[in-house]
Amino acid sequence: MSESTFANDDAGDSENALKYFNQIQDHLLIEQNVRERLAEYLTKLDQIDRKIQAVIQKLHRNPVQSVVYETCNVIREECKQTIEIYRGINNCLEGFHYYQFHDVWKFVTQRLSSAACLCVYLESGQLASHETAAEMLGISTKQDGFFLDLEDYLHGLLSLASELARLAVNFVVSGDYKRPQSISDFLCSLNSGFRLLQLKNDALRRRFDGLKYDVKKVEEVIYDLSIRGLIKK
Amino acid sequence: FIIYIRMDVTSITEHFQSFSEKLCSMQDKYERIVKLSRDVTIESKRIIFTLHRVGSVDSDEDLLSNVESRMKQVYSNLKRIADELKGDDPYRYTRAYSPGLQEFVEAISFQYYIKNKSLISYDEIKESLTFHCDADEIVTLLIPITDYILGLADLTGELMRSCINESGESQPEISNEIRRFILTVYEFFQYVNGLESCSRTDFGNKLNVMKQSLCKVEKACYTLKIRESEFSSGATIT
Repeated sequence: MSESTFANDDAGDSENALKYFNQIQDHLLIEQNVRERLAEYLTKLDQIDRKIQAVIQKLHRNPVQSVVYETCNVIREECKQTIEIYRGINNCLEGFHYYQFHDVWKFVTQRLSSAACLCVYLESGQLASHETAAEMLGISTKQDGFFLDLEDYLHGLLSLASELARLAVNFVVSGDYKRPQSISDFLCSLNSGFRLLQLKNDALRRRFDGLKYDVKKVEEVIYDLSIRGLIKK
Repeated sequence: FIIYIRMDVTSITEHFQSFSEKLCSMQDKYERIVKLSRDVTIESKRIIFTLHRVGSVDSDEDLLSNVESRMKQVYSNLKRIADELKGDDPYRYTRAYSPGLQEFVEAISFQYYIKNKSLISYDEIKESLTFHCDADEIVTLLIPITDYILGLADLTGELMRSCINESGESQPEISNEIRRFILTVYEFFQYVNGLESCSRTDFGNKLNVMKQSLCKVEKACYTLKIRESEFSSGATIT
């Protein structure tokens, strides 16, 4: 008979039952506790994410060179703030597992990674590697400590594709007919890259299915520009 | 600020090729664990089915030894999951084997209840999931406490079924024991209802089902009590 839970033969054992269930509840409360502490850090990350989103909207409104420059500066500045926050999150996880609470920071990290990659693209036309994106957020890619989950980074890239597709349209609106072409090339490369991944039927796969619409959107922009002789193909 | 640089296509391809390798190995492992979990589920369900027959027509000893050997099979599959998870963050894969775990908890706690008339503890289950390999190596399968709790909820369903079957044979003590047991588990569930770890699972659903099981058992005990007064056989319900 289990001494640590309760026996069912006499009514007086409901006390034992209560004691045992209190132990179980303590287990749950420990995890609850960690989530509450993580929630505070999440709020800070959300604030940074909102600031970055605001500056990206400004970029869409008027994507001239000076605004592009300012956008990248803001993104880099805000990302510097995330270093402390991720360190705080890592400390909360002491004695626990990364993936136990991954769902807490998953979505906001995807958006921040996407912003970091946007910044690198706007500055250099290149794809920020997994390591680069992680570095900008002040975290690593190695799984011995706090890291940028690979799938989160890939989700971020797919968001980036949508953002750039929209930006291509807005570049044209602002009279820049050259940048859409490089965006088109970039999205095509991303598309071939993603096709190399043998994705199963999961969230990443469903998100990836949307990439072809972004590619198509930019191709239409290029088509509109080239038949009017606004760009040389 | 370089705007129109020709982007480096080959490096993008290289990057994605390395991503592909990493993702594939994780996904393959996930699939293998899902398959093992399914085997655990199937075998556990057979165990539960067999346990329901204990105390009726067939010989108890044969049934229980059948259960023992099936249980060994379940443990061997659980150990294989633990082996797969060696060196990994187990929480990455808990969704893959959570259903199997819950079914396992249901089976083993049912077996335990039949033997000991009490509840197997979380610690005891955790201990049974510590496997000793050769060369003094110890490998443990992580069981999140939510899977224990949800498996417990399923147990109450099985006990309800067992009680309804018993009622046919007029064993009021057994029915009443089950009633008190389920009631205690139900009280506990009320206690932890609303805690976040529980709300992200099937908890609310199982709580409803448990309530229904509890009512069925209470009704069964009620019927037996009424019957007892009709036939003054001297049988009493405590």
